[in-house]
Parts: sequence; structure tokens; C-alpha cells
Amino acid sequence: MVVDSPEINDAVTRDLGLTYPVLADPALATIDAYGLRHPGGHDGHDIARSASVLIDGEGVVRWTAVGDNFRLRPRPAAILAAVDALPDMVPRPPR
Amino acid sequence: MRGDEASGCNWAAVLGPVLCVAGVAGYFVVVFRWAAALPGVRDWAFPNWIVIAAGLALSAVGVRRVRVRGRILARVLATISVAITAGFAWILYVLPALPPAVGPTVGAPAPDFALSAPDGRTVRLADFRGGPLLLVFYRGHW
Repeated sequence: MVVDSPEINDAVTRDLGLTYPVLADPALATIDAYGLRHPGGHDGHDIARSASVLIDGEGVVRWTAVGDNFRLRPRPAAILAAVDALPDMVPRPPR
Repeated sequence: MRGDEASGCNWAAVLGPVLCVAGVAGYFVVVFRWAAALPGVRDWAFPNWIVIAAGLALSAVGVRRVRVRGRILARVLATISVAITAGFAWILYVLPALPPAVGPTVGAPAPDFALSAPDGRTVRLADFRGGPLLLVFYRGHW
């Protein structure tokens, strides 16, 4: 998710060969809903702060990585560990 | 200790800023070439700081080594070493610093969204029911 337009994201997706959708949030609506706006973050324009949010199959936030230095991002191993720690999504029979 | 001065070349004073430059340049080589293979170096720059510390130490030795001749040059070179070190610290820790934020609350329902994907379709949170879903917020294309 990024403030850039779908056209820019389309070009970047092809350039980098990305296999996941890059969503455009030029109005920062979702970025604000998640509390991740960085005011004046790029040449005076507001952008998203770098962050990762893991959501389970029922739409509940289960893990976040909201750092205070945009150079430092969660490593893939940390993300996979958070996914592995998600509760089992298979419905359990009532006791 | 006075041998270098007598021979006319204060190697410690010269090598100090050279090592500082090498430490900083090496960091950017890692970032742009081997970031995926060396994430620890990319994040914390340990080897680079060791090289830079050695450069600062050499600069200090270079300043102490001269008494009169070459003193100004040694101090200028040492100042360059300090400036390079300060600039590197600024790039790593000051420039990328973000204001405090907490982000979404763990355990709370994720805010809904409906956003455009590159192919023009609208993607919603509900599309990922059954998930899991990893949302990554980018500043741009990095």
C-alpha cells in the first residue's frame, strides 16, 4: 500500500516483477485509518510510514511492525514467525 | 613514534579519513548490492562502524604524532574523519527517524479498506476473509 497512483504502481509492479498487488491510497484514507501517516514525509507531502500489519482470516489485527526508523524493516523470518503464531483458523467443534 | 614524522609522512593522519570513507562507501555497496544477503550489515552497519572507528583512532594518532610541522594538516584530516563519521550517523539514524506512532491495535478488528490495484480492480479487506493477510505500508517504492 502506497500513496502513489495505480498507474505508477502498475509500472513498478511490472519493473520489479512483483507478484502481490500494490494498492494505491492517494487520499491516505486507509493509511490514516491504520494510524500510519507520516506528515511531510517526502518533499513536504504526506506519505505512509513504513509498517507491516498482519491480519488473520477473521479480519483481526494479530501483529504489527511500526518502527521509528524507515531504514529498518521487519525481516522475512520475523513475518513468517508471526504468521506461524496465528491461531489455528480451522473451526473447532463445540465442547 | 616519531619515525614517520622524520621520514616526512604521517601515515596515520592520512589513513584515518581514508578508512572513514571506506567504511561509509562499503555500507552503500552492501545496501545497493547485497542487502538481501547481508540484512544485519544493512540494518546495523557493524563492520562499517568498526572500520570507521579504526579511521578515527588513526586520525587521533596522527594528530598526536606531529608536534609542529604538519600539525594543521593532521588536524584538518582528523576533522574530515569526524565529519564523515557524523554524516554517516546522520544518514543512518537522524535522516530516517520517524515521529512516534503506534499503528493499529493488535487484537482489534482491522479497519476496512477499498483501494485500487494496478490492474484497476478494487481490493477490499473482506476479499481476504479466511486469510491471513499481510498489509505492508510503503513510503514510495522502497
